[in-house]
Amino acid sequence: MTASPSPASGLSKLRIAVVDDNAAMRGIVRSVLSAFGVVAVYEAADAPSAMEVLRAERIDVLICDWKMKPVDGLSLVRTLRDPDKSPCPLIPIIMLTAYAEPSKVKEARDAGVTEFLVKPFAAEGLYKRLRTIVNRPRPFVRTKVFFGPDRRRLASGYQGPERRDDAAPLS
Amino acid sequence: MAQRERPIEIINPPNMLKAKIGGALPSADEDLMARAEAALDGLRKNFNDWLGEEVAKLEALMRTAKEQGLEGETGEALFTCAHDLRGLGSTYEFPIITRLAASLSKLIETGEQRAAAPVSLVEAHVGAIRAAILQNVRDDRDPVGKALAEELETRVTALVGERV
Repeated sequence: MTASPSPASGLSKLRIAVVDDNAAMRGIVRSVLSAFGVVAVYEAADAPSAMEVLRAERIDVLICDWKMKPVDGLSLVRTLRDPDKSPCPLIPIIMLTAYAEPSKVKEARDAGVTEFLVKPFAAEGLYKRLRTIVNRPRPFVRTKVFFGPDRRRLASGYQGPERRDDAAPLS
Repeated sequence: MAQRERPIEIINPPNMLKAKIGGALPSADEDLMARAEAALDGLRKNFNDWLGEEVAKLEALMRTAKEQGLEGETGEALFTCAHDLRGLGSTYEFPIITRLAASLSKLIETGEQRAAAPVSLVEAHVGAIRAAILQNVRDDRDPVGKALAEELETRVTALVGERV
């Protein structure tokens, strides 16, 4: 069964790709996204297929599993955050994984993941991640060793000057 | 403390998603979540079959592991299967399978751990997962299921410690 799109969600214009080696999980994510009103959902069973989709289509958000073969999701994220190799280095990426340990969340953040969602996931959790990506996108940070979404996020929204003494905003 | 990564360049890309959507996304309302639930209802009839397939895969890998040991590709495949079940169990309405599979994943996550893991303890997890399906024990409100999960978790933690 496919739920009819929800006009209130505003998500109907987005193109979302889901990469997960488990076909049932891809189907579940697709169903939830369809219920949110997303019409264009692209599926890939592995990282190389996901790269093909990302090169061929203008994808707005990638939802990515971690534990996959032959290339795991973390390696896919690192490739996507490499401006020399990626068709879309700024793409928002939601890591959807059964890993739940804080060390794994940190590892994912350090690879360049935008948001992290633990399986089994609730529909509300996925919507919240999408809402955060749309309403409060993270700035990107480039250092010698990292390119990706800012790994800091303040709940209150800091309004003062940049506190990194060596920050060099893009002019 | 780790050295700061210098220099740091901050990039604020234009918010293309907000522009594409035409404004901010509203909070999730009851209607939206009801739609998501209804979408999952459409898949629910498949959950038992899908879960059965995953558990059958786990059991087949366990049989191979008993012959060949937990090292090498079989052990890694067993971990991957347990990891998948950790993510799928609750979705398929068996939260206790998520719990049992999480314990099994913790026990055999790395090659080093698999080399040291008692096969009997691995097998006990696989057996518990199968038993949960056979006896329709879905969550730890079942006292036997709860006791079994706690016992397995205690043994795993004693071997590999807490994971953070």
